[in-house]
Amino acid sequence: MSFITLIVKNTFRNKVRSLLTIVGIAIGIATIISLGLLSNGLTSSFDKTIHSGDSDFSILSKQQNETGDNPFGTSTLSEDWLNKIKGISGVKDAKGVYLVVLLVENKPMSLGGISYDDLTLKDNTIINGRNIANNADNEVIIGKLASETLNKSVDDEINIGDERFKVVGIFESGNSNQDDSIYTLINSVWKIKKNEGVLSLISVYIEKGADVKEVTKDIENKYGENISTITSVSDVKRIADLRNMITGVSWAISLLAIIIGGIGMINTMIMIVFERTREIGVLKAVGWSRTDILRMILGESLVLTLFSAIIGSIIGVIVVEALVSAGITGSIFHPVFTLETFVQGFIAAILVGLFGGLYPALKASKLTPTEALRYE
Amino acid sequence: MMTPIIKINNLKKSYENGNIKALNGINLEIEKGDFVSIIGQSGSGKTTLLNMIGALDIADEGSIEVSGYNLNKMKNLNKFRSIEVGFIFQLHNLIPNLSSVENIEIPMYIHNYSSKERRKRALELLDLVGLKDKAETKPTKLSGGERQRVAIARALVNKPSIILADEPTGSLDSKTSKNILDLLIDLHEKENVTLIIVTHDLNIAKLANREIEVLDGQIIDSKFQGN
Repeated sequence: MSFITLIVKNTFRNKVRSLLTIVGIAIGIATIISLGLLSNGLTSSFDKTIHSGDSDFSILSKQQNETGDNPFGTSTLSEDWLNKIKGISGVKDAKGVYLVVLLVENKPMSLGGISYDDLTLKDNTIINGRNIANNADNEVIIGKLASETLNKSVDDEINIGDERFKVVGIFESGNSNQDDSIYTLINSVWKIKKNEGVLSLISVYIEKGADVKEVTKDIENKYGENISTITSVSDVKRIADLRNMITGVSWAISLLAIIIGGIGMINTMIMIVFERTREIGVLKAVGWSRTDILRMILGESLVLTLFSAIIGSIIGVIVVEALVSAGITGSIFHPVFTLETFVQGFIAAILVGLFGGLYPALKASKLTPTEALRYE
Repeated sequence: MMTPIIKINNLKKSYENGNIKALNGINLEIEKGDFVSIIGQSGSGKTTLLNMIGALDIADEGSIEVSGYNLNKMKNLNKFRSIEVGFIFQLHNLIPNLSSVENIEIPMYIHNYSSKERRKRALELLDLVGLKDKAETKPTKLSGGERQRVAIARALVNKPSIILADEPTGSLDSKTSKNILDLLIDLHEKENVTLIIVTHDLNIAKLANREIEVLDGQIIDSKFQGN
């Protein structure tokens, strides 16, 4: 029998108590995991909402009616701006987006005109059907919410303005604004609005390694009189503040849960040490040192918390999946599974094991053999 | 003349701020391979004396030397206990969730034995105490006498030079007590180990070749017996 086997056997000597302790700590770990997954999803959703699609930032016109059209309640840009923006150092690509609100089957609906190779189109999650084919001017994809509002599914036909389109796909991006919209190729929207070359905004993608702040600063310095970047430094700060706030609240709740679990852990380990005082006396009598006793009790404490971490991770994932399945998180955001979240859960468990077991282990190791052997 | 394995000079130990004088000037020498019984009433100091010899407790005054180790000056008393002495208690004090063989392995963890070496040695000892067929049995499934046999095997596992037994048959019936004492005496003779038994039973004390009587923390009688 190895020393580790001895520790594991000792840990599960009183199965019910060990199980209850594991459940107590596992709830704390599950809280960390589930809040971590949900806050990851929430911050990711913020990013998607603030950015146009998955671009790094967007550009709007400052000038009123530059093109003589104001369909979205904001000013518009001419297509010429695409080449100007592409010429800025650090810009990888710039895509025009034309957003309009119009009546579709007698319901006010947001219609987005995008380029075929715009990442916005590629990154929307098609949950049914397919994406718009290249140059398919008569195809649309509609968001899940819009499909419910319009009662349309894949292969249905839809009238927008004077044009007739075929629904080829339903998407769900997790961004409620996008999911309540219809997307088609920008040429088709120009055709409907009879307004070719008009853009509502420009989605800008920057080179890998380039600094968003620097690129937006360059654009505003050069063209600041006519256009503005909507993901400005203040926007980035606002997102960072929101992220920090969500992460902070998640950690505060997790910390509380883990403190409660940790107190349960200390209580269990103290009980174990009290119950086994005579046994500790025998171990000392046969030659075990303080360090040997410390190793054994801390080892038992760590075994308990490692089991808690495994069970807590499983519970955390089940809770999050249950919330998503029950529709409680809605389409606003989806959990984002990252290794980091689970690593955080395991680190928290190990810390609870070390700190929760330390006091009882020190107490046990400091017992003199005679007082331990006299213990009734 | 043989060199004594235990040399005690004017040993004193008190508890509760000096109010209880457990040992009050003990002088004693014990030869290697002796079988010594220590008798006395409850509270006479016999268990305290045994604990001092086994380095479970530290003296207030006087000197104590066991197997060449000066216990007054030694810092790693646990190392001394793991090498030189084996304890047998009135209550077996076996770990309930471990099997007989696993209980015997416990004192070996602090030495650099492999798992296989530990198991081999523990099985040899189980054979020696006549419990080879109970290797995987847990203490709760053993009789009182069998548990004490496992405890004896545990005390011998690190090949100590001294066995210290505190009322080893105190919780056993007379027939089982006799078997356990026979086993201890047999092992003492076979292994040439020094055996010191604390008891209040005069019949057990007479089995030893030297009988020491303690009263109020002092040795009041010490006699060699021809067995």
